Amino acid sequence: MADETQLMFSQEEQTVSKQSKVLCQLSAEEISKIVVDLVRYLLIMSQKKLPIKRSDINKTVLGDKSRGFDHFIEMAKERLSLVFGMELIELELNSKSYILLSEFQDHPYLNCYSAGKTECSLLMIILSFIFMNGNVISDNQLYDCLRRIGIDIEFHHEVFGDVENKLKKDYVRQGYVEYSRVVGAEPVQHEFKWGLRARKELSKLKVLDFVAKIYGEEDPSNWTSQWEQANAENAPNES
Amino acid sequence: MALEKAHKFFLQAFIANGIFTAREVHKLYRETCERFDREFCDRVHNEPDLGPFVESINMNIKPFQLEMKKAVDEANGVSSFVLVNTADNSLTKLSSTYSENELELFKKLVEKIVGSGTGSVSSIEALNLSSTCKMKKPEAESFFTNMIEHKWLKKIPDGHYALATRCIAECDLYILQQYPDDARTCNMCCRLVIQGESCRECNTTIHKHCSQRYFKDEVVPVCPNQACNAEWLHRQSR
Ligand SMILES: [Zn+2]
Ligand SMILES: [Zn+2]
Repeated sequence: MADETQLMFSQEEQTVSKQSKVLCQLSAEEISKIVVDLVRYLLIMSQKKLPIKRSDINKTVLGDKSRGFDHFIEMAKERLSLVFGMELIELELNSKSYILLSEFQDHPYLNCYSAGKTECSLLMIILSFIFMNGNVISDNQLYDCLRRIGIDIEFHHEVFGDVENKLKKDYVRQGYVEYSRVVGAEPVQHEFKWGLRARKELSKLKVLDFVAKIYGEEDPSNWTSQWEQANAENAPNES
Repeated sequence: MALEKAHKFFLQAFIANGIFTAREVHKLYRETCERFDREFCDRVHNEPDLGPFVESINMNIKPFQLEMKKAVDEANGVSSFVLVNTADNSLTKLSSTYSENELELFKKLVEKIVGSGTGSVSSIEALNLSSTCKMKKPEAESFFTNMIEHKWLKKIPDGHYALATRCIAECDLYILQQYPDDARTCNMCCRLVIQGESCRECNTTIHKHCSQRYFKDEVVPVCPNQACNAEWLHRQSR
C-alpha cells in the first residue's frame, strides 16, 4: 500500500518536472505568446460551440510544447475569465475536451433570444418541453410534444430540417441537451435533460417567458411550479 | 486595470456578432449599463461615455491582437464599430471556422473585387471561381450566403457581390499589401477605398462619405489632385 502511494506520488512528480522543464526552457515572452495564441484559438473555435479537443489544441497551438499543456491551459483559463468573461470547462473530468461558456446568463447577443433565428426557436421549444415536464423527459414523450406542434421527427421539417439529428447530435455536442439511457428501464428507454451550456447560459425564467409567448399566455406565473423554480434560480444571480 | 462585468458583457456581444452600427452599439451600451447598474451618461457632458468604456476594453484585448474600431460603410456612410484581428495576415486567421478551400475561394473573390475597378463582381463570376478551389458551385453559393450572414460580404442592388464594412475593416492592410497595384487609397482619409468615386482624368479616388464632406460647399467640384483639376462628375456614382 505504502509502496503504491509512493509510486503514484513519484509519477506525478515526474510529470510536473517534465512540465516545468518545458516551461523553464521558455522565456516569459515565449510563454505569453503561447497563451495569447491559445486564447485566440479557443475563442475562434468556441464560435461553433463544439467541444475543443486537447489533441487539436496540441496540434494547432502548442506543437512541441504540448508537455506544458496543463500549465498553458490554466493560464488561458485565467485570461479568458478576466478579460472575456468566459469560463473554460473540461467537459468531464479527464475527458480531454473543453467547452467555453459565457459567464452571463441570458446574454441577448449570444443566445437564441436574438431576433428570429429559426435554429434558436427550435432549441428553445425543446428546452422548454424538458423544463415544463419537470427537467427531464423521455424521448417518446418529447417526440409526442413536438408532433403536437407540427414537428414530426421522422420527417424532414420544412423550416427546421432534420430535427432528430439536431436534437441527438448537434444540441448534444454543443452542450444544450443531454441524451442518455434511462438506468434500468425495460424496454430500453432514453431521456433528455438540459445540458451544461443550457444550464449555464440560459435561465429558466427566460425559457418560461418563451413558452408563455408561444402559448399566447400573458403571464408565466400561471405555471405555478415552474415559475417558483425559475424564480428560485434567478434570485441569487448577478445583478 | 481589470475589466468589469459590463465590459465583458459588451465584448461578448462583439465576439458573437463582429460588427454593430453606431446606433446598435448605442443600444447595446444602454442595455449593458442597465443590466449592471452603470451610469449611462457621464455627469459632466451628459452624453453616453462610450469612448472611455471602449478604450478600457481595447487596452485589455490588445495583447490578444484584437481591437474594437470605428469603420464607415462605403455605400451609405453609416459608421459602425467592428471587432478586428490585428494579427498579421488576418485574412487567413480570420476564422478557423472556415475550411481551407473556402478561405482560398474568399481570397480569390477579394482579389477579383479589388481588381474589378468597380469594387464588385457579378454572382456568376464569383461562382465561377469555385472550380479553381476544388469546390462545387452550390457549395460556393452557400458559403457566400454564410459570408453575407456574417457580414463579410454583401450583395449590392444589382446582385453583385461587394466587400462589406466588416471585411474592409478587418482586411484593409492585407488588401493594400497584397494588391498594391489594384488597391486604391482615398485621397482624403488615406484609407483603403473599394467602392468610391474616381476621377475621369487621373487615378484619384475618394470615399463617397469623404467626398460628401469635402465637396459640401463646392458649386463646381473639381478633382482634389492639384495637378489634375478636372471637374468632379459624381453624385450618382457607382
Ligand atoms: Zn476617405
Ligand atoms: Zn483627377
